[in-house]
Amino acid sequence: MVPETIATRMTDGALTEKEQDRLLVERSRDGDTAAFDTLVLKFTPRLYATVYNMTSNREDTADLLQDIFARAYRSLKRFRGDSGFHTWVHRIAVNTTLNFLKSNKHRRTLSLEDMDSAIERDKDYLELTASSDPVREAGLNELQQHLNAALQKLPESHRAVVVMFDIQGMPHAEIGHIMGLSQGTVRSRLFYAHRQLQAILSDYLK
Amino acid sequence: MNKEEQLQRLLRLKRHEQPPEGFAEEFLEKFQRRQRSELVRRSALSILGERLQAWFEGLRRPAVIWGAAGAYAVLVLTLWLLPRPTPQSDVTMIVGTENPSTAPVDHRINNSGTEPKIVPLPNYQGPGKRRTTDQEQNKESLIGPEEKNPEKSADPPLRDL
Repeated sequence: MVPETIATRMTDGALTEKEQDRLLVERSRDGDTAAFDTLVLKFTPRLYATVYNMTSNREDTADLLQDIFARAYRSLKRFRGDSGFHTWVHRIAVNTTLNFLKSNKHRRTLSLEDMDSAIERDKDYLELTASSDPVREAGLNELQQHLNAALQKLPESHRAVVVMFDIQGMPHAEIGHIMGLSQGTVRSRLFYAHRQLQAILSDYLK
Repeated sequence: MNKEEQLQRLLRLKRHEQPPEGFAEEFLEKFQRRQRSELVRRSALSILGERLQAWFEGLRRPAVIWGAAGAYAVLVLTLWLLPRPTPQSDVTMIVGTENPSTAPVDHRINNSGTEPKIVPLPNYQGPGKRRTTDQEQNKESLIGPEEKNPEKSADPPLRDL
């Protein structure tokens, strides 16, 4: 059951994000499907980004997300709240995606999302085009293709770390929780992955 | 800007690869449809399986109880597998003196698991001591009469002839 104090504070709008998630999980466990729908809506964009950047395929991503949320729903009973729901559901997402990538290693194709128009005002993009001729000369589509192809050349476990750290902006500690690794291992994987990416993308890094 | 920083900026550009607007809502509708259809399609067997699984998961919680039961089972199994003692057979150690370091010992293997008995020989006085007449008689009674020296009773050697 939902603790009374949490329920009261939620109506007051005084709950932290983590507490709100916990409350939604409690309600979902009690059979409130609308509460789980709220969680799905909230976490779809974040999980989409993780899974998409690991697979570089939008159809696979949509299918995997269905599996991930179905698995999360079935496992709600086992969510103990030691970590946040965000970390817990991300763990399911990363494990499901890694298993998928391992079992479909030899039939991978890229199917990419369009870059949104906001990229042309992005500070990083503006500075990169100002300082690097190859980035400026390459169109956005070409750059996107090269970036995704480079990521796909990384081992899956290294790719997952790069996606969560460099693209999603997660801290080392949370990545460690999600993947069941120490922070040292996360840093080490990042180091080797960055070195490999620098070699693959050397044309753009001058 | 060094290469590492350039790489990190390049990778951050991938944040702009987003699904089309309204994707989350559409995805939720599909998810609800799938959940409902799965619920309808589920056979009685799979429901039973899920309930059994939940029941076993419930059993797993009191780990202390299961741990204690496991330890008890291991203990019982160990006791059962231990070799049992065989029926006892007495072995007598025959010793000629009360000093065990110099006494002759019966080296027959003692499988009974019991302490051997030390029985001194009558009138044995230890190694290197001359036997008395009584001792000679006792010896004869134990091992029979001593064989006489064949050289003394046989014919004289050829060179003496």
